[in-house]
Formats: sequence, structure tokens, C-alpha cells
Amino acid sequence: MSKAVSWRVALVFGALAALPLTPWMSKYYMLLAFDALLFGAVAMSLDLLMGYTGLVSFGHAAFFGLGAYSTAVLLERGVLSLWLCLGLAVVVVGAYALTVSYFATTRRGIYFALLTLIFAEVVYTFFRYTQTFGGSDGIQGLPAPQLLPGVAIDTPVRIYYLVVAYLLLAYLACRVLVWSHFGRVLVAIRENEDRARFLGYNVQRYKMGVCLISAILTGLAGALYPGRAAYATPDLLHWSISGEFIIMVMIGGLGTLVGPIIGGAFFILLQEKVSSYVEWYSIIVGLVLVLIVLFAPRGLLSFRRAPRGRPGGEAA
Amino acid sequence: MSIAVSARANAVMMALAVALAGGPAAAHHVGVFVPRDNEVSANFKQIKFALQARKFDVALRLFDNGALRAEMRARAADLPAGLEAATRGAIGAGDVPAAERWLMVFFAALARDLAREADRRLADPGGSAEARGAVGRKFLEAITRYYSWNSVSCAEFMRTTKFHKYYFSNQPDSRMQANGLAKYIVDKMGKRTYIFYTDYAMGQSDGRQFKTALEKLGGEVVGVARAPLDTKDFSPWFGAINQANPDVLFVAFAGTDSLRLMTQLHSFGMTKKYKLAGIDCFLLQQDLAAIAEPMEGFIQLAHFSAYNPDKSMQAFIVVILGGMGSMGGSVVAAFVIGITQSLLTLWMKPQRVAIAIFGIMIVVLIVRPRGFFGREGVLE
Repeated sequence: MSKAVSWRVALVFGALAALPLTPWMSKYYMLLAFDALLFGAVAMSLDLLMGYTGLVSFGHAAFFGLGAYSTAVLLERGVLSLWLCLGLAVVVVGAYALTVSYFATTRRGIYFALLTLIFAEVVYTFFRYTQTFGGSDGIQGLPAPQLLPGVAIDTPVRIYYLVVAYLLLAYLACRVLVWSHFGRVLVAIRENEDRARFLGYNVQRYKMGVCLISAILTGLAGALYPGRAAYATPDLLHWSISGEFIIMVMIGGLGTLVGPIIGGAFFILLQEKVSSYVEWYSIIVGLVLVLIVLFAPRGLLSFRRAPRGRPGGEAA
Repeated sequence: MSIAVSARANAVMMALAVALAGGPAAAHHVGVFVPRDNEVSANFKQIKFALQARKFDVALRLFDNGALRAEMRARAADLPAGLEAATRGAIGAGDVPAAERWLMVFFAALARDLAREADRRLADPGGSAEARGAVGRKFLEAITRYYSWNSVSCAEFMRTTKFHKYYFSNQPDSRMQANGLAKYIVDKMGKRTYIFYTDYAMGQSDGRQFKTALEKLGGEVVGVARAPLDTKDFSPWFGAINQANPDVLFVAFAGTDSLRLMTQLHSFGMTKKYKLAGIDCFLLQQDLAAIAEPMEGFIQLAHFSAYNPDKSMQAFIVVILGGMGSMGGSVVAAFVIGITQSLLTLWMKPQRVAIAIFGIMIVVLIVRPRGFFGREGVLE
């Protein structure tokens, strides 16, 4: 990692860590910041697929929701350890992601999107109608998870620091990934899949690998969600959530890591702020999205910097 | 993936995404609150089923060893004196209505105590707002659990399990639902039916659809009567009903009309004389206790299609299956999906049918992504 970037990362995360110390951060804003950073992280992990590999996943809500349900099921049964919740989420989401990506990566383009969408709909339908998991009401009224026995993550500030820590780790993992040989191959697959195959790369294995990583990062974010919301409902698995994730990535800019984080945060803040004024907020959110797509097709970051080559280049 | 196609795929995605922004996820949260069982309500259900099956020795054993009785003892101080003995006596004597009444009292008391406790805890200034919110939700769930068992303990709403075979709940319209109920009535309740409904648009269509369905299945409609909305006294119609002497009395009323009708039918002894069935007799929960006895054995058909997948999702499946760009393909696929769904419903739970349809879709996408009649290579 180059020095300039690591300095910037340290600066940004230092600022995020200092945020709760500022006087205007009420509990409400802490939780809003949690949402912004959490969904930013999800958008970033989705961008590994969309921006770097050129695979549009329309089923990321399933990874997120499965993570959330993993935590919820354990918390409901009195298993309060955060680490066990995260562990279960990794196992469940990983197994599901392997299955989906095995089938979905046999197809390219829009068929990949369709397959991920339909698999996610299966998961949604399952949870929506299974009474063991509370049916359409989901699992409600969960206790707070515990970092260590006796140390519950039950205040907005603790929850906020948890997500900052998660975002930092996820960002570093993605950073390392896209700078690695593996990441280069992903970009090669996006640019010309046949050529990558002719060069001797097992394209499907690379695609499955990046699907798995992206899914697990999303699932971990999902696993943190019940800690804040105290519930997991089938709504988290609905395809419209997958669509929102895609919107977040597009707002932020495909093929960058920081862009989608900003896009996710921007989307959450915009939605929250607009919806507190008008009920028909989605029209305004949609309008903003259209404006961004028309005037900043490379996402919000492109206002700041001159485009450097193709999307997904070296821009951090 | 060539650049041109990838641009087109992106455009499609873009269009979808813009369309998505119009529908917040929260709007999709529809459904009936079905509280989960705890050991008390589970034990209650067992006792209830044993009583229904008239296996009183089994019911008594379940009561003696169950969580319900333990809970009764633990809360004896807050319950009416002698409740446990009275319940046990009624179960032992095989007096089903009395046993149900005592159980109802018990659940009402449980719900009351929980509400008090929740009120006390929520008023407590200690703890964060989130923690208190969680407490509130938990209590709400517990209270709803007992409260809804309170209603079940007094009126038989056969909307689930037993009725399920006949009740095609995933049928999209009330006509098909009427078919389900008509079949149940002809098979299980009796051939001669009297139809009695409210004289307004919905009552009329319910009555008409049900009459058609019943006659098609070989049932005999021995009479049809209409009462205006908000009728206070239904007795003028009772003479005609008694004269026709049906096996089954089908009623389609709503709200307080049903409440009055059921109580009046009961006071004229007609709830015991005829088997009762109906559509859309939705009642407020607080009225249930008042008509506990009249509603005993009532077979209800509710209008809802909770198991239908999103309509947009279904249309989407049809287009993909038929092949994008092929009109004829969509028509064929619509028939295939529709017929498959209906046939699967015969031997699968409706919620599993939705999953099976997605399964078909997955197989098609993997094996033949262009669908039945789509051109090869489109969007790939």
C-alpha cells in the first residue's frame, strides 16, 4: 500500500473514530452514521463484483439478510457472543454464496444478474413463509450481542465503533485484494473474459472466488445489523434491497473502493433526510440518481478528480 | 463480453435500478401477525386438540403435566380463585365449553398481567430508549400470543391446517376461493345449503360466486336471502331459513353485522341446528368473547392471497421463461407457469410452490438462458 493512501486512510478513519466526540452527534445521528457506514461497506463489497469483475449481482440482499438472520437466530436462542454470530454468518453465507456462484458464473452478463436475483428470491420466499423464523414478521426484540462475556454492544456509540472497525478491516481486505494478482485477473476478466481464459486462467474459479469474498463481506455487515436494529425481517432479503445496493455502487462510482462507500453513505443520508420532510421521498431520491447518472456517470467521485483511464483503474 | 453488449446490459440495469428507487422496501411488509408458540401456548394447543378429538383422558394428562398448569400455579395469586381446579374439573368431566371458557379467562389474565408489567417497565426511566423499545416489542409479542390464543380458545377459525386441503389460499381471486369453500362444504358438511348475505356489492358477489361454485360441485342451494347493510334485527329472515331446513347455513356479512347476526342466530337456536360457514366475516378481536359460543364450529373463508409472489416478479419470470423479445413465448410461458402453479398447489404447501417456480426458472436460466423462444445470444 502506498504511503499517500495509507496516510489518507488513517486520516479518514481517525476522523470517523473522533466523530462521537463531537457535540452534535446525538444517539439518532450515531445510528444514522452506523447505517451509512454499514451500507457503504456493503456497496464496497458489491463493487468487487460489479466494478472490478464486471458481474452485476442482483441478489446481494440475500447475503445481507442471511447474515442478519444468522445473528438473529443465535441471539434469540440466548447465544450472545458476537464472534459466534459472525462465525455462523460466514458459514451460512459462504455455503449459500458457493452454491449460487457455482451456477450463476456459468452464465455471463444479464443472466448472471438474473440467476443471482432468482436465488435471492428463493431465500426471501423461504424466510417470508417459514414460521420457525417468524414468517413475515421476522425475528424481533433481540438482545444486544456481546463482544466479550459481559461486554454488551448496547449503546449507539459502541455499535458505531463496531461498524467503523468492520469498515476499516473490510476496506483493507478489499484494498489488498484489488492490488493483488487476484485483483488484476478480475479486471482482466472484466475487460475481456475470453482473453483471460486463453491466457490460462480458470475464469469460473476466479469469479466464484470473488463472489465468495464479496458475499462474506456483505454477510458480515448483515450480521452486525441486528445489533443495531434488534430485529431481522424478510424485508432485508427483498430484491429491492439488492437494487438499492446497486444504486449505491452506481452513485459512488464503479470500479473504485472509496466511491461505493461514499455512495452508500450518501444514499442512506439522502433517504433519511428527504424522508423526514416528505413521504414521497423515493421520487426525489430517484431524481437525484438520474441526475448523477446523467452528469456524473462515473459517480460522485468524478466531481473531484479528472477521470484516470477506464473505470476500475487505479483510482482509490 | 463485448463492450456493446455490456453497455446494453448496463442500460437495462440502470433502467431497473431507477424503477427500483420508486419502491421503498418497507412497503413490502405485509402480512398477518402470527405470534410464535411458547411452551404455555403449545401446551394449550395440545389440550385444545385433545378436547376437540374428545379424548378427555389425554387432555387431562396434558393439562396435569403441562406448562400451562405450572404457569397457572405460579400466577395463582393474580388469577381468579379456584381457576386451576375449575379448569381441571371441566377437562376431566369432558365439558368442552366450560374448559374453553376457563382457559380463555386464564389467557386474558396472562395478557393483562403482561400489559401491566410492560407498562411498568416502559415507564421506568432507567435503560436506553432502544432497550426499552426492545422490552416493549417483546411484551407486545407475548401479549399478542396470549390474546390471539384467547380468541382461538373460544371460536374455531379453521383457516389453517385442516382447512388447507380445500382452501386454495394462493388462488388470485375470490371466485376460486369460493370454489375451495364450496368443495369443503359439499365434501364435509352437507349438500343442502342456504345462502344469506349482505345486500351490497361485495356481499352480492360473494353470494353469487359461492352459489355458482356450490351448484357446479353438486350442492343444492335451498334458498337465498339478502339483508340490507347495518340490519339491526335479522329475525324476519329466520322463518324462511327454518322452513328451507338446510344442512349448512352460508353467511357473508362483515363487522358488527356479523356480530349481531351470529348472536341472534344463536339465541334462536339456529347455530346448533345448522352447520355454519361463511366468507369475510371479519370481526374485531374484542367482540370474539361475546360470540364465543355462537361462533363455535364456524368454517371461515378469508379473502387473502398472501402466498402469491409479487405480481411484477411473476410477469418477470414469464418474460424470461418465454424468451426475451418473443411475444408468443411469453404467452406460452404464462400458461406453463400458471398451470404448473395450480397443479403443484394440489400436493404442495402454497409457500413451497413459489419456491418451486423459482426452481424452474433457475433450471431454465442455466440450461437454456434464452428461454423457450428467445433468440440466442441476446443480452449475453
